[in-house]
Amino acid sequence: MMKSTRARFVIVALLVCTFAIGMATFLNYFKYKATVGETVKSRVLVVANPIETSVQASLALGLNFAELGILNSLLARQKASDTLITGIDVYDTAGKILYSTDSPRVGQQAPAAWLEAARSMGKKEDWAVEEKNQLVTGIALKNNFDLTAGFLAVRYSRAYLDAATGRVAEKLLSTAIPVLAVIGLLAPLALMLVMRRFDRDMHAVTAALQSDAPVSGPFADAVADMKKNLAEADKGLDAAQAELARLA
Amino acid sequence: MPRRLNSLGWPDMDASYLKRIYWRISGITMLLVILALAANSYLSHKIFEAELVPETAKKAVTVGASVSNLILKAVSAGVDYKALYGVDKAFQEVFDSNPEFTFMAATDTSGKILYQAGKAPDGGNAYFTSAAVLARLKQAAPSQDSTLVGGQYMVTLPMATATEPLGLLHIGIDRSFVDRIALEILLDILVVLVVALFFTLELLNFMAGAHLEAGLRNLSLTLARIRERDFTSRVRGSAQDEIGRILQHIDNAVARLNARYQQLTKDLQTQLKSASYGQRAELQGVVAQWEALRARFRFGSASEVATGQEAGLNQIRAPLFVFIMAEELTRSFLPGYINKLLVPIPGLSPQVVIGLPIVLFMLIVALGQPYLGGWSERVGRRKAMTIGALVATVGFVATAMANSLYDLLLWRSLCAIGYGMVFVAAQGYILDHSGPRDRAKGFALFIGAIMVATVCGPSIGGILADNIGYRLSFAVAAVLAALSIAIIALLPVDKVRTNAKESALPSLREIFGLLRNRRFMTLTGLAAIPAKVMLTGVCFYLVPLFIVSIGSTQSMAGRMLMVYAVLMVLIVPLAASAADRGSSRERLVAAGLCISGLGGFLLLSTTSFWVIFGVVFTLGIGQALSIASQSALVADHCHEEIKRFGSDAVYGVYRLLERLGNALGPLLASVLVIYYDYQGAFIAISALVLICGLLFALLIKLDPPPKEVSA
Amino acid sequence: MTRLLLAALLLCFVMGEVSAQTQRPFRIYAITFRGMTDVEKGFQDYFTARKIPVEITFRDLNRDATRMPGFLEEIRRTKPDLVYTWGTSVTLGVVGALDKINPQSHITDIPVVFTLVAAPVLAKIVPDLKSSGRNVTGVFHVAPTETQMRAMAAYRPFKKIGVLYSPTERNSVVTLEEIREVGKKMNFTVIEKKFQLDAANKLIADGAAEMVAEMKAANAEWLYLPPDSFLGTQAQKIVIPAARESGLPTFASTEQLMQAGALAGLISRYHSIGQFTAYKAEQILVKKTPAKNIPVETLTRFSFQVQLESAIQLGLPPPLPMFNYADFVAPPAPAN
Repeated sequence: MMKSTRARFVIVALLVCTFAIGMATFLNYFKYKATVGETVKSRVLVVANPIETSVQASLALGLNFAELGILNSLLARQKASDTLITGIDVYDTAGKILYSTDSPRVGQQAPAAWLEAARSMGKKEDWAVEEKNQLVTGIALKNNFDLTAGFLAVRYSRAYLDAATGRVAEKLLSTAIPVLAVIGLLAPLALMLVMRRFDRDMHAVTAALQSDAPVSGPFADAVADMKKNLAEADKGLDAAQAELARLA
Repeated sequence: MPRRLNSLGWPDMDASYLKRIYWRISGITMLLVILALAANSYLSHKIFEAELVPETAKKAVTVGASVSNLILKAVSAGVDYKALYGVDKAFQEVFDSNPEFTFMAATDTSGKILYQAGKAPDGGNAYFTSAAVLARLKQAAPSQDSTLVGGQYMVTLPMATATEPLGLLHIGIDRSFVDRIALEILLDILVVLVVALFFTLELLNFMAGAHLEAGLRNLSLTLARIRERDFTSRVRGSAQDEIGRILQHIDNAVARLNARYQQLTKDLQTQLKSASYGQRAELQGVVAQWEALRARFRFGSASEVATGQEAGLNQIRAPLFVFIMAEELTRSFLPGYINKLLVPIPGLSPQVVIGLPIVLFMLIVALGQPYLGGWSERVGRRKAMTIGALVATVGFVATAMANSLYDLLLWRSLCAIGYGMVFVAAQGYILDHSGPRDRAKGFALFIGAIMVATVCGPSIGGILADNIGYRLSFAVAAVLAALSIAIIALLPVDKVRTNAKESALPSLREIFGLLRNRRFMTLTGLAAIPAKVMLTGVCFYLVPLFIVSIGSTQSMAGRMLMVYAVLMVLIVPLAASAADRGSSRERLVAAGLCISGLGGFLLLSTTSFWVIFGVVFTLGIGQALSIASQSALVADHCHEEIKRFGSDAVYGVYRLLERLGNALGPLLASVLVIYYDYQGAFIAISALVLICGLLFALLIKLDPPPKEVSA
Repeated sequence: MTRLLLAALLLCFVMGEVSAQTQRPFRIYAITFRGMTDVEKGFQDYFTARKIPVEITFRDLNRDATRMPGFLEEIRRTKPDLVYTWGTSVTLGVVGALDKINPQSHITDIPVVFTLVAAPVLAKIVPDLKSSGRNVTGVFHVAPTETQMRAMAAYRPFKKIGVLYSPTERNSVVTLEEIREVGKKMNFTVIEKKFQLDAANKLIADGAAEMVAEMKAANAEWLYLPPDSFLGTQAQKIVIPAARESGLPTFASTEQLMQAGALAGLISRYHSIGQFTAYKAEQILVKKTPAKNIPVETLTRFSFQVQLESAIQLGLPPPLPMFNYADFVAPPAPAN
């Protein structure tokens, strides 16, 4: 088979395999990222549970959401229970931070993105926001008649997750590339197998053209006809030339 | 003996020979892809397990700590640790919200299980009572390590009051949770496989196809010519490959014959010139032989130069495919993106607003097409395509960065103009590069590229949007559109016709004349427009929005659209050949409309995505059955109109109305959603199409086409 | 004409400005049944927390229906923005039963928000919970019967429960019917015991303790205490001690019964009820929603209260998950 065309077929096979492996790696990477993100998020939210319970109990007792004295110490305790957590804030529906593990934040306004995410949480139980340096997730704090009193936000390390996903990206790439390399070696071989018949057909034509061997294959009739015509023309020319020579 | 050529201008045998080669190469390529994917999945599963297990163990420690706190709370409230009640319930609650945990147990200080829930691991008791595990009772902080026990990764936490240790809490993580996560991308991997298959065929065609095809064609034409004793020599490019060498060989033989013939002619002439009268009489025998040779064989060089027209026609496929793919990519997630950028427009409900950019796009494409045809002729097809792709690229980039719905409308208009330009110019290119003989092949190629793009685009687009977000996905579309510019640059430069005639726009008189024509409107209004309304209303508007609204993903919407496109690819050729073999086109169109109309009623049952799948499936079958026959019916049924207005005008108006149906689809669907919700809108559109289908069948029966008197 | 219109518009505009600046407090006329409770505290706290200026006039019926006409007359005279009524009797006194509304005496032109009515439909205050169809809305405080049965089963599953109730109280009779229905669904049977009546057809507590013991003997696993007025008066002195003696856990349907010493109960916190009532009042006063468009509701989350000490003594500690959310309450001060 023609060399250049075969090379092109190999390139096609490699391109398609690269696409497939690329997509698979892409899907794996994002699946891992989502899974590990979800795992860490739910782990961080476990820490938020006692705070939610405490706020609900206090609200049910008739305490004002803005005057939950014990909350700051509870926040500090819960923050300490997981090193990933960089801070916990509790803010009201207007976004004013009422309690925080970082006392300077109290009284400040929570970022608009948090409020937006919390408000558009819909039927979901939690909300999440990705920031440049940290990840934030949280829940709504509701009273006994489902009126949202405020929100809880847990801030946690982004670097940790980025490192994990980065590591996995590297590992995934370092498996995808060898797989591709192996396919790169296999592809010419596999294609050669398939193309053998084509080669055989072409060789048959070449052989038939170069010798008197009988032709086989899909082009047999055409080649045989052609040879017969060529021979016939040759013979005719021979005869005329010989006659001409005889008369000269 | 005349050469027998098929519709492709090929000796039959060789066309199927080429097809066989293609399929074999595609088969082996797919095998390689599957092999690669399997190896890759196996290896990435290992990575997942290595990376996710420690992370899940950490979560188990945190969850375990909260359960342990609860137990301590109960104990400190005065309940004896051994007399706790409902511990298994607390464990069960943990499983409910964390399905990767499958076993929990609390033991006393000797390792005896007091409470447990879930699937106990084999060999658990030996593990719980082992000295190494019991040593953890004395640990202050729980260890985040996990141990594989009977197919579960076991995480162990000590529990102790201020004064004494109580026991250990064990949490088992099911080893197969990694399998479940890996399986969740299986559907996406299947989509990748399907797309890979279509890519293979497309790439074979682009990379090797033209080359191999031309070679084989040349070979078989040459063989056929010599079979007919035509020895005229041809101008040919250099031959480096096998076919080239064979051709060279034949050419050499032919050239030798030609040389000998010329030599003979020259010798004969020389001898005749110098011959005496008597000799001349003798030479007459040779002259007769020479004339017999001339009569039997054709020598000399051919005036006809093997043209690259065929190859030129094929070249349009790749850029068209890449460009259409850019637009198709956005189908599954565009409505979701608009939804995100939504700003309330007073007096318009959000549903209609979401439909607006889609409606606008379709409207621009529909109305722009007649003008763009003439324009692309004036500036040249290649240049028109380049400009179109450029405009669309800008449109995609800007769409990716859109601030609100308002500027989005503008950017989508750019995409629409670009799309219209490329579409029309590509059509023109095919007209320019094909004779009447291979025009059908040209358009089959055109439609083929678009169909394959509709298979690959929405599904990949959905996957992209789910993972990298809307904006980056639009950026990918922009990259594809830009890539198409590069491939367009590879097209042969076409001669710009300065005196190009204005392409015939249908005049208002013609439009109104046809709008009042019952036969024409039966075909257009009851078949073509409803089919398009259903396509754009359901596939481009309702499906993406509804799928996401029932909690599924853009990827799922993409998969649905892919199923639709695959059905089209598979069934359209079957339906077309059925129509060619004499099946009634009217029946195919009526049946297609009715089938696509019936699907929507599935939604009367439930609203799971399987039902949506059913709707898309029946819609695909219905559309595929009717689409090839629809436009052919115009020629069948509207002889008089074509005689009166001309074929161009009739088809121009037909296409215009059909494309307006494209624009009407999302508009109608969005209005229906306001009043009847998604389900109702699906059903209403389906009912509409069903009614149109039935009316069409009835009217076509009442008004059969005038029988042609066959010559 | 145009100028006049313009002036009027301007006036409206100016007045709007003024009222926004120095908002006149909303005037609320509140009638309680037996003095101030946590409900009123929650009611007031809500307005304070939301910074809604209100001026509440409290009047107490002190269980004396003869005082009602005086209150109604005062309401007519002072024309408050809203009337608050505590309990079924007060509410019926102010708005009248659906089939016995007397426009001369009952209040119809001022929105009325009731609270702490156990069964507003049964009491004919509203035809159904979605809308009163009149200038009335409010909050009821008893958790739906099925919710209570499920809460009881969450504490300890059961196949048989005992119920002691007053046959003369319609409310209790209906509750009992509901329990039987739920029993079919949840697969348990009900042992019913009625308080006895004396010659004058008045309820008496005689034999109540014995009936409780009989239930225990018949393998009842819980004694359910319905929202029954007479039971409420006898619970702390007779019924609950009798149950405790025979080792039968008691489940309270109201905070009052819980305070009488029941082992556990799913109850509405009076303070939350007061807040929720204030939320309804806010809809009417601030959001200007007509009372008839506001549904009659109860809390979405109830307090699960447990007397932990008694529970441990009885050998019936709460299930572990309950330590997360239950309120552990102290035993009541000894009666008398």
